[in-house]
Amino acid sequence: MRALVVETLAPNYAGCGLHEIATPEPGPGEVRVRVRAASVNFPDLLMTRGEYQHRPPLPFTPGMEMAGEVDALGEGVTQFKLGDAVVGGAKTGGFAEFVISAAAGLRPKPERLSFAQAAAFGAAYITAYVALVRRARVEPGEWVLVHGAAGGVGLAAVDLAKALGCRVIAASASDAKLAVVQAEYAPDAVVNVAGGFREQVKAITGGRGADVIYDPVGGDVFDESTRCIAFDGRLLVVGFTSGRIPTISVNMPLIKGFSVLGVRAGEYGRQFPAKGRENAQAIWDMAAQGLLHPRVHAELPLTQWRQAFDLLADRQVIGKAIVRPDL
Amino acid sequence: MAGFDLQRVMAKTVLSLPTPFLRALSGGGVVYQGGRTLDPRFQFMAHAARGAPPLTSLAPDVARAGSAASLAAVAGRPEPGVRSETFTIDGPGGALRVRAYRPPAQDPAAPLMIFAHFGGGVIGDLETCDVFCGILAKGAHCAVLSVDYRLAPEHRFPAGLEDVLATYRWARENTERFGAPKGHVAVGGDSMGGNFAAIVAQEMKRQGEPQPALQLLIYPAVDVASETQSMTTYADAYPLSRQTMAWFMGHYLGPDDDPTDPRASPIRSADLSDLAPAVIVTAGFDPLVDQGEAYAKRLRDAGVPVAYRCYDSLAHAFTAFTGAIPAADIACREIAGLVREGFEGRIR
Repeated sequence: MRALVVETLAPNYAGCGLHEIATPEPGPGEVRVRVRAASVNFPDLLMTRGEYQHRPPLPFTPGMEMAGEVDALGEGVTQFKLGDAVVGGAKTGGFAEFVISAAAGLRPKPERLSFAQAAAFGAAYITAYVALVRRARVEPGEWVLVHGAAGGVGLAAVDLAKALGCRVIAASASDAKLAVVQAEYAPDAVVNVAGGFREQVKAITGGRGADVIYDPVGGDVFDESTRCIAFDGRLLVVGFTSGRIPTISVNMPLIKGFSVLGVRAGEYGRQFPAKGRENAQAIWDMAAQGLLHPRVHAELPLTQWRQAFDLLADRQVIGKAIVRPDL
Repeated sequence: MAGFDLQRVMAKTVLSLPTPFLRALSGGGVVYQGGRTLDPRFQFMAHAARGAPPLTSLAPDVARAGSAASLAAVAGRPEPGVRSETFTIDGPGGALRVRAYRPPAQDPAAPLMIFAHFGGGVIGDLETCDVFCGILAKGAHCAVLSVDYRLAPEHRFPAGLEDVLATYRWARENTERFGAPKGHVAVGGDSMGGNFAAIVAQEMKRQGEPQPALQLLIYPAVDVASETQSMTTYADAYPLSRQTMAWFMGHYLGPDDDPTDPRASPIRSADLSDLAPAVIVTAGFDPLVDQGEAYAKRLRDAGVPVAYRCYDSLAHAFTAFTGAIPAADIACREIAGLVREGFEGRIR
């Protein structure tokens, strides 16, 4: 089968290439999936140069989220049959024609979602869910300010917060991206952060500031967020796409009465397996009901994996970029 | 293009409404087909179009006028800094109108791109792709020459194709007038224009002439007798439905023309090797999505460098909707970027 293989860890994907490798066989409790769509996530890019916390042994095939069809069943697998449309995640393996997954790591693909949308859904929306529901415990009507709103993780938070009945301010540094977010997700307000956003957020929220701030950006965005957060507000630390990990004097949360909450969606599920399953069930149920709308920016053939990686790295993607091994 | 009846004012005002209102006005709910979610603005326009007489019930000249008026309502603003000039050249059927676009920062090494608009060979003119040609010229840093080829049923197959071929050959002799290197040309088009562009590349091979530097095929009609799955899944899509496609082809092809002739359906060519590098772009909500994808695959299997991309939430003809659909505007700019990559030899 054809697969993207990382043979050495190197910058600029120098250690990556498309290769013909043996099609893997499923072991007991495992399923072989014919991959129809795999989404590109930042950890995939980081893993090619060994900059992610999880460093799989070399050589390996990246790709942590995919959707496809059941192609072969390992011993003891009864919950799926050949040809079933499934979606799942693993740490690696998705950027290939076939991937082996534990049967327990797969679920039926909701009919409402295309293979591409299903592959684009899980990681981003589980992050948004853990952040907004488990950590911030948002209430309907609260103002939620989402930074990086056009990115995969940010857009999921916009979509989920709207579905939960919150009032959403979508923030990004690009007017073109905000126009798409506004057109397709109907946030209550959009804010271009390029010239500073603190006054705009205060004006929108009637001077109170945002009740919840979802921040995958960090750096200056985090700093300014502490100046437009409401009393009893929750500032969610989701990531640092700006490249700078900010610092805060703890007298500030004290005086202004807000909390700073770290979000680790994957670890949350590992620490609390039952709640982790509830989280996943909640978002997939909402997707099946048409309440959530994962956005596929574009689908590209696996042969164009580098272009797909660059789309993400260059921040051109609104939602998720998808690679398709069948193209 | 089914029932372009939207009034200019209505379209621009209503389309600025938030998504839930648009979805409610469009009969509620989210449109899922083949598992894709339709852009809510396309959804609204599709709904509005349902009340209008279908294009297929109109005389071609009425359809042309109606389509032009409706597209004007959703067109983006002309690209700042791009200069254009309309003039005529000698075509096989007499004087042929063309429009040249020069970007503010033209790369003197970039080829001159000959571009053909959409419209099933029956509707459309230089205005149809006017905004897009500006975006393309600016983003790809190249001059673009758009051609007002003859339309069916007044001029059936292969009149339109021959006009595009004639423009291509004329342009190849005249590149330096547009600041491009001598003899250095590329070819592109969307929908029926993509059909022509694909055939131009094949004709150059058949006639032993040099290949274009690049072929740009946007949601191309490469198989006018297609029976792919998407012809059924998206049979009722807006603005191109299966019925509209059949109506176009009914006018375009004469009673004795063979729809499987490679000069009508370029995917029917047996050998696709040695063709120019291709940028192929499709839209998710489009009966033609499968054939565009299939052509990309076949070209690559024949050893042709191909950059393929499908914009899932968009529909056929999106290059003309940049004023109403933000995602269409972004996609058009990315297409210009892909063409730029192609000119720089970065498509493999």
